[in-house]
This record gives sequence, C-alpha cells and structure tokens, in this order.
Amino acid sequence: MSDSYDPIVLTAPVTFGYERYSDHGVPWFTGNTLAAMLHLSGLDKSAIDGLAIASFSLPPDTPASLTEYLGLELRLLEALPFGGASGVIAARRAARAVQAGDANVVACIGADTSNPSSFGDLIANFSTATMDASYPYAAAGPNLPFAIMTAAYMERYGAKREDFGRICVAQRYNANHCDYALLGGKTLTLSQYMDARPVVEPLHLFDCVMPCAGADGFLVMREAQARELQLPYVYLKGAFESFNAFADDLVQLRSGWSKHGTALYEQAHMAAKDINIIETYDDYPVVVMMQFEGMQLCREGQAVQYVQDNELRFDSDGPAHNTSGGQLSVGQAGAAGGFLGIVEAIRQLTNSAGANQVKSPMNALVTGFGMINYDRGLCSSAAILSAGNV
Amino acid sequence: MSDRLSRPRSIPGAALSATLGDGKFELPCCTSCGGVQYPPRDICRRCLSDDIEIRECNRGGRVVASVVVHRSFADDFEHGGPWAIASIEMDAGSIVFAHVLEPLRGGTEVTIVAINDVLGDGVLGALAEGHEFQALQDKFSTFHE
Repeated sequence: MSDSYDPIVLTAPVTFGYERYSDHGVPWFTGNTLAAMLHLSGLDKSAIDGLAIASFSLPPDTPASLTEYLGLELRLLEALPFGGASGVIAARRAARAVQAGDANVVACIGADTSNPSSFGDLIANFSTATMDASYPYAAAGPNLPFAIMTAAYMERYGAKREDFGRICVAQRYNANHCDYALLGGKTLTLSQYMDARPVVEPLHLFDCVMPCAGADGFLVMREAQARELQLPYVYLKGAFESFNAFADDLVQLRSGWSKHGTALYEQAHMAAKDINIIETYDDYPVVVMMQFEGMQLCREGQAVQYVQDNELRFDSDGPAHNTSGGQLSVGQAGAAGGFLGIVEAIRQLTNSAGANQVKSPMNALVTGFGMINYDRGLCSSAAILSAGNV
Repeated sequence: MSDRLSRPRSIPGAALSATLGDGKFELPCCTSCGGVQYPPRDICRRCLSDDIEIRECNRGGRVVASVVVHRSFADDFEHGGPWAIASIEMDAGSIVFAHVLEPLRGGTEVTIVAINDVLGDGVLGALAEGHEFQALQDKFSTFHE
C-alpha cells in the first residue's frame, strides 16, 4: 500500500472562463485561473514554486513556455498528457513533491481553449493508432470506441438507453443549480433524452459532451501553511494512477479502478459506503457505470440497478454524483474536463459550492479516465478527499 | 481509385493501407513470435522484436459489438451514411474496426476483407454469412466523383 499523503492538503478551487468558443489561448486561461487562486489564497505569485499543467491546445507552446508567459520562477514543472485522468494525477504527484520538499506550493491546472475547428483537428490527429485504425472507419472520433463500449455493455448486462439517460438527466438537474454549467440554463427530461437524434448508435445527442473552452485548478500545499493562510482545505486520503490496465480484454468494460480500488479504500481507511459525493469522469454515461462498478459502489454489471436505486442528485438522500452537472452538462473543456470533478469536490467539501451545495459532505471519491488511443482509454485514476478544517 | 493515401497515417499504417488498397488481405505480423500487430506498428507489443512483416493471416473473426455512425467529422463520410462499423476479435489475435453492411450482434462470425474506402484508401471490411464482398465495396464506390 502507498504511504499516506499527510500533511498535504488541496485548497483554492477555481473554475474559470467556461464558454463554447474563445479567442483566447491556453496561457490566458492558465493565467486567469492562477490569478483567481492567488486571490482566494492571499498568496503572492512568487510563493508558487510548482506548476502541474494539463492541456491539449497548448502547442506550439509548452509548459516551459507558460513559465515565461506568466512570469513564474519554478522548481517543479509537471506536464500531464493524460486527458480525463490528469486532475487526480496532478494532485497525487504534486502532493508527493510537496511532501518530499521538492516544492512548497504547486498550482495544478487543466486549461483548454476551443474554436469551431479545434475539436475536429484534435480527433483527426489524436494518435497514430486513431489515424491508422479508427479515423478511417467513418471518422467518428471518440464516439466510435465509446459507442462500441456502450453497445457491448448493453448486450452483456442488459442495460437500456433509459438507464444511461437517468445519469444524464440527474446531472442536468445538478447543472440547473450550478452557475458555470454551460447547459445549466436548459432542463432535460428523460423523454427529451430518448427522443434525441442518433450520433453513433447506440449513442444519441445527450450521451455526448459539448466541447468548450475553460479551465479548472487548485493549489497543493502543507496543512500548516493552509492554516496560517486561514484557508478552507481538504485532505488527500488516497490516490492512484493506472495505465493500460486489462489490456487483453476484448472490449473495455473496466479499467484501473477494478485493479486498484480496494487498495485505494485501504489507503484512505474507508469503504465505498463512507463516500458522500462521487465525481466521475463522464465523457459518456457508460464510463460512469464502469467507474461505479470499478470503485465498488455496486458489483460488476450492476450499475443499471444502482442508477435505478439512487437518484444521484446533489440534494438526494444517497450519494450525490457529478454535482456541477459534470462534463455532460457543464461542457468538456479539453483537459480541464479531467480537473472538473476534483475541483468541484474540493469546493463541495469546503462548503464553497453555490446553489448545488451538498449538505455537510465529509468524503468525496473522484475518478478520472482518459486518452482513447484506439479502442479504449489508457489512463485511469481515482482519489478520495476528506473535509479538512471546516 | 486513387493511387495515393488521402488521409494522414503513420509509416507502418501507410504501408498496410497500400497493401489493403491493392486488394490483398494482409496484416503486420511479428516474425519472431508470430503475433498480429494492430493497429500497425514497427515493434512487437508482445516480445519487442522489431522484425515486423506484412503477411497473410487468418481471415476469420467474431463481432465484439457494432455501431452505426450518423455523425462523421470528415466531409467524405457526410454523404452515403449511416455507416455500420464493427469491432472484431480476429482469430489471428487482435481487435480490428471494420466496415460492415449492417449492424451485427456480438458473437457473429465474420470474414475480414480488404476494401477501398471513399477516398480509395485501403481499409478493412468484414462480411457476415450471406454478405457479398461487392455489396460492401459498392457502398463506397457509389460516392466517387
């Protein structure tokens, strides 16, 4: 089992600049997110000596370019090309660096911009495997492998479209109470979900995220420093990252969560029943079900029953799920989508969410998933956070 | 048919597409351990030998799952759809995506073939029992200018 992350905490959660398209580049989103974190924490820019950054649209600039652009002098710079798994991985690596004394305060940021052609360009050249073996098959981008996973899940476990719809409809309800959710101004009913146009069957419109621009971030520091600054913070009770798990499975219906979930709960000294808030990576609802199962909220193949038994809203009696509306209702700001869940969890556990605040939450599970290289996501991650000083 | 690849591919991917474009069903295989290398690559994912050769292999396979693409990100697929695509477990030991004539249930036995897509590039198709090669090929030929 991995060592504890004590006495490291996560603080200053920021969600910045979500919009459908933007004329600004990644440095602008990164700089504004950092400025908001400094404002929240009262720290001077010179106090930031580490940066962990995830972005798809940063090139031709690099993480090193950002240090010059934003006038940062650092002794730790971590690039996280892990897409939807990157937020948890940032927290984990930043916490270890601070614990070991390699940095004092690490800003962890996911940021991406968006324009009308950027998503198409990204998926056309995502990896050599997609160029050779996926894109020539009707150029459907990630919708192709996720439609295959969804179809396989439906055939194997008897899931129906309505079951996926429950997840999307509950998340839209949460988004209706979250001010930065781009689709939060629109309601979504199960019948609207069912009547939506097909995209890549069995996926229909509301199973797919809307690409957008935006950024999310948080600070990692020692608990003593957060106390001195009188900041609300959360503990990182456990975390893992996993790559290319279950490579021999014919179709991906599980990932690193099934391999490392038990160890994560042991590291955090808790069980699935202790979790009040679940923030999953929701690029498609079938992946949400895989995360529920892998993290033992239900048994493998039982997520259909789980979503029928649990309302999954921020104000439900049971565990709250994707309290901001998730990417399905906030929008997918590239790699920032991999930070959306952990930043929202920090906000919830420090009681600093808005109208979507969960009542007195103690523990949150955050899961990540990313990089569909060909037919499956190669990166997965998860963390358990607990309320700190609130 | 075009005599060049119209989409960007890796070097091993371009070599495979050229072979498939000539109507030959062959795939990259490791000469050391024999494993099929798909998606195409120049080093074996099992034994790390870099002696990879495009050669004939078993054409049989079973559908893992299939889907229907209504929304494509490339202009050349915007017309002529929707496109049925299947994920197939090859008897030769790899997972391939392939064009199919219609959605097929998991477990359906198929034969994998080489076809030319809308742009003339060589790609993989799969035929279930009763499916004609020409019917699958014609799905693309119809849309050539």
